[in-house]
Amino acid sequence: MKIFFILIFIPFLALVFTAVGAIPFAEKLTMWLWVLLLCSAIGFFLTRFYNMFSQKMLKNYVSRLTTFATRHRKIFVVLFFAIIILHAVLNPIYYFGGDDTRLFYLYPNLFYENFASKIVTDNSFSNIGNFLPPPAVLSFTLLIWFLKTLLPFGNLQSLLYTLNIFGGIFSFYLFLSLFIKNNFSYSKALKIIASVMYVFSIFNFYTLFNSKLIDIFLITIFPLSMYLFISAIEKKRPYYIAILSIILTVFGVVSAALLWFLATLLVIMPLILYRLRNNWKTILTYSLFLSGLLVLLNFHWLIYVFHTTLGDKTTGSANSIVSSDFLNENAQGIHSSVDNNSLLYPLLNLYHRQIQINFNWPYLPIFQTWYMNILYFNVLFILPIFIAGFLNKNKDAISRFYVVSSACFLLGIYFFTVNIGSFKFGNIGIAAFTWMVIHIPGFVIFRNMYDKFGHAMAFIYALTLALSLSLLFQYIQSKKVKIAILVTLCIIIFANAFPFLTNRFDTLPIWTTSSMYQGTKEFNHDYQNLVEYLKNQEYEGRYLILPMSSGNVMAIRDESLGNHFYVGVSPLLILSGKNDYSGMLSFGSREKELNTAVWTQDYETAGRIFEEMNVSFIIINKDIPSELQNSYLYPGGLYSIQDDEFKNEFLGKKVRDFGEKYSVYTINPKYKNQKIFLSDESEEMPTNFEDVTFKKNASHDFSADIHSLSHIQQLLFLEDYDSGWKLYLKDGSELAIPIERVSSYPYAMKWKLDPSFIQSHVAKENYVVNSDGSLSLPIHVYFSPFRYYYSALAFSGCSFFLIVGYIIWSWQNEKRHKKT
Amino acid sequence: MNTYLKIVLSICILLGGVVVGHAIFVSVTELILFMMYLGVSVCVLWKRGFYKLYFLFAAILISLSVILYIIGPTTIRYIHYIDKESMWTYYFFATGVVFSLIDIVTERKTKK
Repeated sequence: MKIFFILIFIPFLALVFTAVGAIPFAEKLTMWLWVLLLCSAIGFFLTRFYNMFSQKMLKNYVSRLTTFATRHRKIFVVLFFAIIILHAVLNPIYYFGGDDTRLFYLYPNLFYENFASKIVTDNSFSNIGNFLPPPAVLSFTLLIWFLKTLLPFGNLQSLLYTLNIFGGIFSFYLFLSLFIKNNFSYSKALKIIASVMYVFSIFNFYTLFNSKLIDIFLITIFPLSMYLFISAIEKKRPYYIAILSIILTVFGVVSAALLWFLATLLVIMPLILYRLRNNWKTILTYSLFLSGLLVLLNFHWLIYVFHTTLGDKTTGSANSIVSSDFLNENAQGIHSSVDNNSLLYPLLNLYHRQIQINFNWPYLPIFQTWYMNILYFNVLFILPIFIAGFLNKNKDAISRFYVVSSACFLLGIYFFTVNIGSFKFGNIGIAAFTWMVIHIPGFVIFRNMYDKFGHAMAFIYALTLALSLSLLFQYIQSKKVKIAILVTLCIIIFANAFPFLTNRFDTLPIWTTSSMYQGTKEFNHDYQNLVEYLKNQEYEGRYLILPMSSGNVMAIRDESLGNHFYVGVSPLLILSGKNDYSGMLSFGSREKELNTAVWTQDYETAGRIFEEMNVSFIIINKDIPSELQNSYLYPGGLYSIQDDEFKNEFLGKKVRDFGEKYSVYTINPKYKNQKIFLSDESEEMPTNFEDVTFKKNASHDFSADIHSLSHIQQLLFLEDYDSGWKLYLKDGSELAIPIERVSSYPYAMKWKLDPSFIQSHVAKENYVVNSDGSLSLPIHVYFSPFRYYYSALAFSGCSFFLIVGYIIWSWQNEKRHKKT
Repeated sequence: MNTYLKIVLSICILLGGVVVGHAIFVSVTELILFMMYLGVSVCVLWKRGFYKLYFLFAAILISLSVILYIIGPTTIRYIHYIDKESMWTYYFFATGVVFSLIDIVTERKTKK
């Protein structure tokens, strides 16, 4: 009841402060009047409820209900999961888009056929960059294909995301069980609550759940991996390592999700090593065993890593992330990202606020309207950690784990925030991070620390809090106090998860729009018809989508949900097998040049870039509503600058309309080009391409007929340079002419063809001497590393089956031993 | 350690703290927080077990930050105080953790 005195006192104080002109302070006080009023009302009802509960009749009724629920708890649990999983499977909405399109959840076959099986030419969507060979996601695609076969009409995306949430809670619980034993009351409840906190952490919402890439499954996979690794070493069970290798391979942890995995591993490494400190030899042996198994399972794509744009500085399709320019640019970028970071937010289990404001992040409205209002309560997350430190006597295992986990927690906060204070002599945190990015090989992968270390923060915060509370529970004897702490924690965790549980993050309008949304049921029929048409066309060259966006993102309207769009990298390659350029970023190292040309209306330069990058057809997208025209997709009027005059400069003959939304044209004959052609020393495009005809047999194999080679000429191939491309003759022998880069522009390679050399070095059945003395010869432009493709695939496949066999054998063996 | 030496060292730490703090910190707020930090360090000099105070000060500082957030005006000046307090919360906590780690390591060595 004392609270009512405060309630009376607050308005009085507010009046005083209003009278002296401190109105903002008075306003804050009145806000707390409402909060306290609400608390007292809840308190009143709880007291009443407690009084009712203490009455015998109600107590009996509740007791009978509890007994019934306990007796049939398995049925209840199964029913609960069944309802949630059924709801997920029947959900008609898919969240496609982003950097990997996420279309594999619906079209695993097409994804495999048109992308995941390619190692060259069609190995990146809309030229987004091919840092990893596509077969890196082959095992995940196969898993989805298998599930799609089992559930042809189910929404696999929704199902797997739901299972990932439960999986995350379960695997984190398992991991916690390695550190927290069930030797004190409410230990299980504590572990469950900490697991829920880990999964429903704001750091996960802003990173893994937001991007929805394959790395989303790290929520389950990471704690499970750590559990398996520690258990394998402590129980001396090497087959756990074998299971781990399969899990890490299938869920792309060694490929697509590697960066986030490594970031979290970097943060919790001290704890893992401390836990296993008496098993150094076993750690080393099992780590080597795991590495070996991972190499075997991923051999089919690891051998193609050097044929990606990862380390190539001169490629035309993407900027290298290891070039010194890139590293220095990133060092500057780090400053702009972290300069205003405050340690307050991560300490309170919240995402950084200022970076959201500076870059106007889409989640900012949720953060400002929800998280800023519950910020005060989040202090209850960090206080137990500090109090545990104060009370800790370092006398038992759990207290030592707490200390090491706290050290990891500090490390996590540093990597996530970087800016840990400015002094007159500079900022130690930023300087150290920048130094690491520039000088430690590979550390540049963590340059977007606010994204990469998000999962690490979720993990280490929940872990440290769980260890702190288990330490505190040793000092707290009262069960009521323990229950009060756990209930309070539950309420705060629920409050933090509320926007996620109510799907607010996924129902926000597309960034910088107010009424356009993501979440689609199916692509509009015009787009589907366009895709169907392109699928059946012979390959002639690349498609360009106009108007170009600033990234390489395309917006495609949903068929039934009028204001819902697919927004992500262009899915044309997956759906039709034909690759495209959809925005400025698609043009890689020529992006800046093209951007300038578009803004200065320098059509000649833009046309030359299209020509040199093999644009043969243009798709006009007429279905872009005005809100999207003015959105981040086309910043600063990029849509309107690509007006009819701009488009007409590049359009040739109309091929076909697809409803009112799309039209396909050939490119203006002025900028005509061909994938493979003959040129003189100047490397310029010829006016006609009759000397060479070509056909695309596969992404790694093009056949070309050279009709008339009369003097020394260059054979140009409009594709990203790779020394693996070679020329083969009719009889299958190699035409041993060295490959060269084209000097006038980056996106091509060439071979110098000399008729006299061919006549003197090549068997006669491979060419024909024409009546005018010129040569005709059929050749294959072939990507020679492809020769190992099927062998490597078979090698990885066999390794998989051998490892599965080993796991089953070890498991059975262990069972037999237990029996005897 | 000799008591006289402890007294001399404590005075040196505190006086030196004022000079060094003035040279490296941008604002008076930070200087005050730095002196608090040195205050605890002096306590630790007198008795090693007092390093637990780092955790206590971290708890007090983060609570103060949140109270400032609740009652303080949203001016840049107050945000600056809050940022500095949370920064020092981190340092207090980090120092506490470092001392705890030293405790664990020395205990292991003693056991051996």
